[in-house]
Amino acid sequence: MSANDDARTRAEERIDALLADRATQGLSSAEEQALATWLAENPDVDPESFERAAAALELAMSARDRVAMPAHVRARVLASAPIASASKSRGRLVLVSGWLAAAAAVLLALFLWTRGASKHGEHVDELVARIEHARDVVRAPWKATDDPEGRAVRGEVVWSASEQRGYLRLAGLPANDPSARQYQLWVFDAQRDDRYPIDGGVFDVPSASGEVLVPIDARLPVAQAKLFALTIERPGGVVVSQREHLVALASL
Amino acid sequence: MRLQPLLHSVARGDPDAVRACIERYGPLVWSIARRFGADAADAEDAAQEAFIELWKKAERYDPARSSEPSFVAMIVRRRLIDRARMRAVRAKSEVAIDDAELATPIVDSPDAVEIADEARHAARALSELRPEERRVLELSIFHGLSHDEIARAVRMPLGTVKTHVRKGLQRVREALGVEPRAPATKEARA
Repeated sequence: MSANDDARTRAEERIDALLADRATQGLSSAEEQALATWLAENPDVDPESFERAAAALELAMSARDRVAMPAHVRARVLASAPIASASKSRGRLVLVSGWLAAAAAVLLALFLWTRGASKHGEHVDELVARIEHARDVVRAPWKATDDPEGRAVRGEVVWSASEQRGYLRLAGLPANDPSARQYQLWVFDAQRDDRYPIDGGVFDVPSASGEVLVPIDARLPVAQAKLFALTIERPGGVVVSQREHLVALASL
Repeated sequence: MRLQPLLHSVARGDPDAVRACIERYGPLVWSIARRFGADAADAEDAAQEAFIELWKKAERYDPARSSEPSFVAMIVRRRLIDRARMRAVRAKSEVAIDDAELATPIVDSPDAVEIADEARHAARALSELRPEERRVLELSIFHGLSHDEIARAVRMPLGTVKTHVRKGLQRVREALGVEPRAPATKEARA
């Protein structure tokens, strides 16, 4: 092997060593500069080949390590995503960087819905009785927004922070076709960033007449609920609402 | 089964593609973020930073060079390695030194349908490495240890650790069919 071949081999080994380091632990500034120089002198070297190998190993090794990203982290990620903002429409909250509370203080409660029974297995009547006897039960009336679908809303939110449970009493909302859209509850917690409200789950209004009584079960601890809000979303709900149909608000 | 790529739609700001991207790759990103984060709160920050980096680089995804999951893993690892270096935070060092704890190839995993083809080839290449090489790569790639930390953990000279990392990655690179020399129309690093 000629001297030139030896030099080239050493250069390739040095580049490979730096690329392997970069793919696994990163490089210092000096090493990055050295690598940039060598890559400039060897433009046919693929600077990502080791990183792609490391990525393939990552996929293989982490397959059993994966769990769902927590909902609040998903919400943060979505809030920072490059999504073009929707055009304004009636009933939307004015928002900056995601959510902002409306001018009036509003509260959101976090809950899970079941048909007539909470996730604790008790019937809604039993839940109502339990909440009514809680030492810190609070009530907030529903108020209509500018959205025409919420103009007739009435009822109240009943919530107990100590129980971390409550219920919604709702009337005047249009019945929804669950295959087309659902109501979704949102929570603002005074001790959480307003940009990342808590998804309160979805529910249906089966009939345009009569009252809907829906149990509330906090999916996440609600330290200091300050706003309840209802929107209309696609079936199954959304991670972050575009707030095109904000139909009711309740403030504690 | 190969899923429909999302990144080019993400790059165009398609809200549905963005949400689908978060749902599809959230577990992968969260897995990496938890290992590179100092604690739970740091992992949350890391996950958000990783996705922000992915949004920025989404338009550079080239399906001719890698699968989308592999590209995502590469971008996320790159960002979080840089982040860890800047913050002088190391992934948790509670590693399993016992060979029995080593990740086994997942070629026959029931989740294999969701694993990129590259992962299968990488797993096979990993299984063909010598045990000490395999152990070093796992400590580096999965546990995020620096080469210094690996050398101390397994009582191996640093130079040997680096050689194992480099040769192991070269073997995986060969198994993937990745050429060390890029084609004439090589694009800049994503």
